[in-house]
Amino acid sequence: MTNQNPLALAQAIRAGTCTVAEAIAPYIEKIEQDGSLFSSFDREAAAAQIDAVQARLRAGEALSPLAGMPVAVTETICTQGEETAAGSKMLAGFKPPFEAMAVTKLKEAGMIVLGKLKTDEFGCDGLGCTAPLAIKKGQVLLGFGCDTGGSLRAPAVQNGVYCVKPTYGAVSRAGLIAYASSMDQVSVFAPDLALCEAGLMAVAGHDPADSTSLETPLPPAGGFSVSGRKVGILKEALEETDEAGKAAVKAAADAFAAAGAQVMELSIPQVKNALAAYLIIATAEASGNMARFDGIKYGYQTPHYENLFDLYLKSRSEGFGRKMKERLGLGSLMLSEGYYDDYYDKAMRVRGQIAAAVKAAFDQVDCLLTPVFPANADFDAATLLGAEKNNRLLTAASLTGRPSLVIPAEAQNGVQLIGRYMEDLTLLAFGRAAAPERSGV
Amino acid sequence: MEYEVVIGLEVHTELATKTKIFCSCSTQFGGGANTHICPGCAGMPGTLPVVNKKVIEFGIAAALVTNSKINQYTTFDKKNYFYPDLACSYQITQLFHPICVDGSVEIETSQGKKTIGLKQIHMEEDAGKLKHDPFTDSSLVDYNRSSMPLLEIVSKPDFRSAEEVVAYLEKLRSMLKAIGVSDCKMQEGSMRADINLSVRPLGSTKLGVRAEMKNMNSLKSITRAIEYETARHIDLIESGNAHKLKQETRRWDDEKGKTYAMRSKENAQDYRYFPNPDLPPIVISDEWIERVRQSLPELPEAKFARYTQVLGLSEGDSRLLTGSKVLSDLCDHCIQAGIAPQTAANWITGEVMNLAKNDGKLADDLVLRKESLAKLIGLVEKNVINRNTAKKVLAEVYHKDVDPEEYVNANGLAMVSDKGAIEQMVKDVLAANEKVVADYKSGKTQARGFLFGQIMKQAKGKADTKLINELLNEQLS
Repeated sequence: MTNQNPLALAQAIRAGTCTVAEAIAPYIEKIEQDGSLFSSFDREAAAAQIDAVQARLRAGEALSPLAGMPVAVTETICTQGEETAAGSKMLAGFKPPFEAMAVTKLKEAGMIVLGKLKTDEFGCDGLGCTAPLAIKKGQVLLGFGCDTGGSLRAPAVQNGVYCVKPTYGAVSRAGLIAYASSMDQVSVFAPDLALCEAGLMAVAGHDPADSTSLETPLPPAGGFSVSGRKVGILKEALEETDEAGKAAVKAAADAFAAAGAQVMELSIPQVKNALAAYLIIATAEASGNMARFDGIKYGYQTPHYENLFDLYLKSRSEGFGRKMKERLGLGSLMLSEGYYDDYYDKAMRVRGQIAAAVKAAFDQVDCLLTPVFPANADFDAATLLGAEKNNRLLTAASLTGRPSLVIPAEAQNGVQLIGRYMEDLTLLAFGRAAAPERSGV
Repeated sequence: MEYEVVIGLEVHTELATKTKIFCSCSTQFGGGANTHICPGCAGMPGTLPVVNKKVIEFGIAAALVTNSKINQYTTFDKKNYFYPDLACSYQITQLFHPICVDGSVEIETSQGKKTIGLKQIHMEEDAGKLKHDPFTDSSLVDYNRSSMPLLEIVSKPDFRSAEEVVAYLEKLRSMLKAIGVSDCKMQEGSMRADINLSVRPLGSTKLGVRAEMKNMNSLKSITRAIEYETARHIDLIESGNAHKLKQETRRWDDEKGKTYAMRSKENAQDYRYFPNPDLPPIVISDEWIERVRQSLPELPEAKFARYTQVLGLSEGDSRLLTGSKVLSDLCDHCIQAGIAPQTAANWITGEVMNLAKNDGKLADDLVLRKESLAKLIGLVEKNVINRNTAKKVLAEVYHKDVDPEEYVNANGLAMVSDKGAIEQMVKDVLAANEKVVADYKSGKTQARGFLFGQIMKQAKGKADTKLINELLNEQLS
């Protein structure tokens, strides 16, 4: 049944020719065969959701086009009363007494949230994040997680899955366990672009509980056509990638050209500083966000300690993983007296320069095209810098709050499209032109 | 040698909002431990702050009454430090763009008037409270106070005596109370002060070594602590031990009347302030400031000036009336209702205050419907009832919240103001008391009082005194 077109399946559910339970059964079966990608999966809870949605459908309630479809969220997104440890020993056992706005919206739209998918610790860089594999394995139809500087886009492409990181503020961060607040954004991963779009529409929207949430809805793409539009290949990114990356960019460029778009090469020298600025800002913000994990209120607490300071030191030393500790150390230093001006403040100024340069580039083009990974990406990197370097072509979109869509290609590489601020739906239309054979319905 | 003490103050006032600064938990004082908390103010991951607009309005109001310059682009920052009472391990406060800067407060002491400069006022959240449990020898944390809204008012080092400090705190308290920003109850901790103090030779422009005394919450201890600490500094300087003065935080022990050095930190703590990315900058428009300005009530000082200069009341009456918002509200309402200022003042400082005193209440705690008071005085002014009746009716209004007009009608208390009827009573009384009339006419003026009393008795106390006097004078002459 999973081979069937999912949107057609959803339509069959709404039409009553197929029950939600029937539609979901093959997915659940696959999770039960191998649940290793899930940090939590509760068959009972899923059954209750299925019954509730079926009842709503029977009552004639108008639900979203994805009603009855099986989805999952990563373990950095809070679900009420269920362990949400964000992939960290530090937060082991934490059961939020509330639910993330994204989850509420998914449930309101009638989707069945089957469980929580594992991520790398706090979903910081996406190395080792296996969540997108659940799509490949047919365990869920689409997934939602947090992308900060490529931490979801990167593993998605590695695993041959599409991912859209929306415009910053398009989806509420309420209930998302924060890593770097100014860039964290609930993102969608799916096997095709139609599902990416449907998923994005389900979770996007203003939320008064998130002060950075956009007040106006994302404008529809309407009858958008790429014909006559301009696509800029980012020179600095192209120079850094491998053959697979270059091939992916070329294939996308050809597809754009075939669709009537004008493709050109374009230089934004400022993006060379994106990784450095991103690292400083993200780790500085993380040092604030992660400070609440003190071993006292919830999560991990060291079993033996001498005094309060010792409790903090041991709990955090034992609770956080190596890369996380590197991040917190670096971030704290970047904000310290004598460093703030030269690092954090400077990084914020660089961020402003990048934003201005990218904005200027969009005076010439309607969409930016880049490869996803640079050459020599090391997916086994154990250090912070090693991991972050892999994502360096993805950080500019995060720093500037712009929507970014990644399309997987061969050899674990792919292309990234960066769109205009808030024009996520137009960006998805560009995506369909770049990958016409896999754009779904 | 002569010395001068140089003092700067950081005053924290808890704001009188209904909800906390970044969540919708109640700000009510008291309640069981952790009963006014939510995932947000308890520091759980996944929660986000949403600023309470009322806090910003109170900040604007405080800026306006302290002649401060409002930063129309104001931001919140994170101040990072670990302590179990701080739920998120950072405090949301304002460092880079506080809501206002460069204000001033005028104080008056025995030395005359003086202007105290304000460096800035900023908005921030309070921390929770640690409670030691002696049974388990462990500490427990209560987050009820976590994220309570505060304004921190930072003065310049402009104070030269404890008297100035006390005058300033009293002035701040009266202003902030008057504009409804804070109840400023020091005993409940809703107003507390950090004192930065140093001593230097008189005439010197260089500041001495600074000691800080934190969380002082009574004017009496503040005075004593300043006096003690000043003397300690002078003693050390005079005895050649100035080098022993350290920049440190000292704790005031109210029972022993001494300050003690707190465990000193080797290095000043680095709070790693940075802009809070969860809270976008707040832009305060001219219109918003104007709206707050329009909604500000009159300050006690301006009110006092109006009472003495415009209403022509005595300084004594004015001080009493403007010292309490309840009394001045009563007075202003009566005047608005057309009662002469002095008449209103007399009733309030006299009869109303008497009732409150007998009821064991302070002016600010007394409850009296201002419409009823105005109506009652109006009845006297219109000669519907006389003063004596009015006092009795006022007591009923005060205790039972009756409507004075209805009460007077229901109990037939309206005065006999029928001139013919009173004239007849006067004639009857004079005829029945020929001897007294004769006494009066022979010069015993007090006899007139007896006659007046007899007439009022006939009228069952409800006659118009003025009318009786007029008719009595007529008949006796």
